[in-house]
Amino acid sequence: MQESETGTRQGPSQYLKMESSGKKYVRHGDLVLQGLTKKFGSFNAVDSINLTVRNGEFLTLLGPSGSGKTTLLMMIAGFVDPTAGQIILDGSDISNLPPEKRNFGIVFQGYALFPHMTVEENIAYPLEVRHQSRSMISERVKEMLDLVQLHGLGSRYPRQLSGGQQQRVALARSLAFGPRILLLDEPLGALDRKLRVEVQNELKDLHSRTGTTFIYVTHDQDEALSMSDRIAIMDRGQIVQLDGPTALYENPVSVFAANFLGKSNFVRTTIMDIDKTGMQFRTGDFLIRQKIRQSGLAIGNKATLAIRPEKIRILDPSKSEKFNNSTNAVIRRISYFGNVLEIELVAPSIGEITASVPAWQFQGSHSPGQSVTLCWDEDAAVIVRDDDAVGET
Amino acid sequence: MKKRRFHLPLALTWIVLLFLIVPSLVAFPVSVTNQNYLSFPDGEISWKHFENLFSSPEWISSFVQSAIVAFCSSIVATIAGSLCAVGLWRLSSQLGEIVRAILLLPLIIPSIISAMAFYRLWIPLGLIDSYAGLILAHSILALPMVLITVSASLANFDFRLEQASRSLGAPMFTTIRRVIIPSIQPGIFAGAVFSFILSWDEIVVALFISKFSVFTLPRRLWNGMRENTDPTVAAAAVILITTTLAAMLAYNLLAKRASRSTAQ
Repeated sequence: MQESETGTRQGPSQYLKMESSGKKYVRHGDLVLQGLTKKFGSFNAVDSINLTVRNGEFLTLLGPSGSGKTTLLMMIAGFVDPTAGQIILDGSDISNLPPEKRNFGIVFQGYALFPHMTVEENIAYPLEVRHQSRSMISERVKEMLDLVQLHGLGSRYPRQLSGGQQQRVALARSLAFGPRILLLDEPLGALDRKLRVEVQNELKDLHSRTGTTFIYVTHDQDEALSMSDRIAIMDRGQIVQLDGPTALYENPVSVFAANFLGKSNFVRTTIMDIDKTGMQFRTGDFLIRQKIRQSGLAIGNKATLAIRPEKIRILDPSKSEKFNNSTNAVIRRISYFGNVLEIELVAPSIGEITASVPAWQFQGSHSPGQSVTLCWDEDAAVIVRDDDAVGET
Repeated sequence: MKKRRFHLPLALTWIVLLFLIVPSLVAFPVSVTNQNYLSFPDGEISWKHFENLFSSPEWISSFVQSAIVAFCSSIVATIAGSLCAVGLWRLSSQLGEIVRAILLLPLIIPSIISAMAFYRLWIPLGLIDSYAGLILAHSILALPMVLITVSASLANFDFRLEQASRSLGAPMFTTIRRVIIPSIQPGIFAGAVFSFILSWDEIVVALFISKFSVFTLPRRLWNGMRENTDPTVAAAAVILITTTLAAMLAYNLLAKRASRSTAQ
């Protein structure tokens, strides 16, 4: 039923002969963005984006405000006309199709529920404008209310509902007509922290139950990490990195990506040695060994290493001789966050370093001014592109 | 300490309010005078002028005519003005703002000039001294009222509701009918009430473009004042003012109820 309602042609083959960025074949239901660009005057809000959103995946566009993520979403929705590029679904360019013909559901920031309609009328709206039968509509509305666990609230008006409930009505309404893709524009922004985590789980659940492609816009890294199949980190209108949450967190490609998704320490080094098992770096008189293999780098090149704060270990200076990658440091400040302690250190060899350690283990045992040894494992650091240091190489 | 002190701004406010209201209230005592000329009641209240008013075919006919003209021009102005407002809101362009300024002109131009313009134009069009002519003229005068009130409503309208409607598959016309109009209803209703009132007590244009076949209430009041000093005029004025006040009161009550039902 979902398929027939969408009203789009179904190709004879599941696999359409179209390539995205020269790598993978595009499957039925995949959304392909090719060179998608939006200029406002001379400002590139979205700058030549190539992206294939796979059918059924949960893709998050993550970026700071002004990174172009909402503009990109609104272009997919059809409310913003692209300056250049194409949006392709099932082999046809839909860039010129008006929003009402695209069959994409949208959950807006602030929900945009119709205030003069009850919950049921809101959910029935997309079905009524599609001229469905009365009985089918009431059945579908009931089904959707069950799906978002709002049975019994159908006759209320949006203003009589809590923020979390309104948000679920918005979801039910945008899923009621079986959209090809669901677009979500920072839908959890208005909710408080605890509710946000709850709705995150519900969203994830809803995604796996409906099997609909979700494109989710947020600036919140926790939302992105906990829900997404893939995350596209955006900055200045471009996709900086696109990958699964684990891969993104563990292997950021740039300083921006490492900083935007989680926190990171950066150590600017020179490559001293490259062998089969890894590389050796030097900063000042501190030698660092990492099991990294990366092509395109030679001995003598500059390299910026990114190390997550939770991968920094803090040791007692008296028993630390055995560890590789260890250097002396002095604790400058300790911040308590309940579950973790964030310890700011200054190491003569590498400068400022932040370590994040379990609070229950370290509470009270360290204090500012104390001399310690810090170290990290040979697989803890990754080489990242350092946009600020380009001139130095 | 708790002695109430003389409060200058408050006193001034009341003086200005009374200055505005009292002259229009003069008609009330005059309408119940027991004399046969325009005067204050001489110790005794008489309803004979009201009796006279309601038994006179001319006065009743003028009431009905004014009601018809006001009702029809209010409908025409409300429909046209609301469509203009929605259209200009949708376009929101530089050119649209120029069109808006032009549409507001009837409100800015002195009514005597509008009246002359209607007179010159209505003669060749054969609209002089006809219901259609007066209704059309009043509609044009009232359109800016509707444009202003509906535009004010649209300014508060969340544009995402329109986007939501379209994303849910509703074409533009359905979106206007089912989402935009219900949301701007207070503005449309206010525009309708104001247009009705504008037409109901409009005299200048009515004097210029109607003569025999259309004879509105303000027109008959005017004639009555000029030709004789029959206090029936005052009784008619009381009815005119009361109707206007009733329309305003009804509007306020309904607006209050509407705002209460849409409040968070």
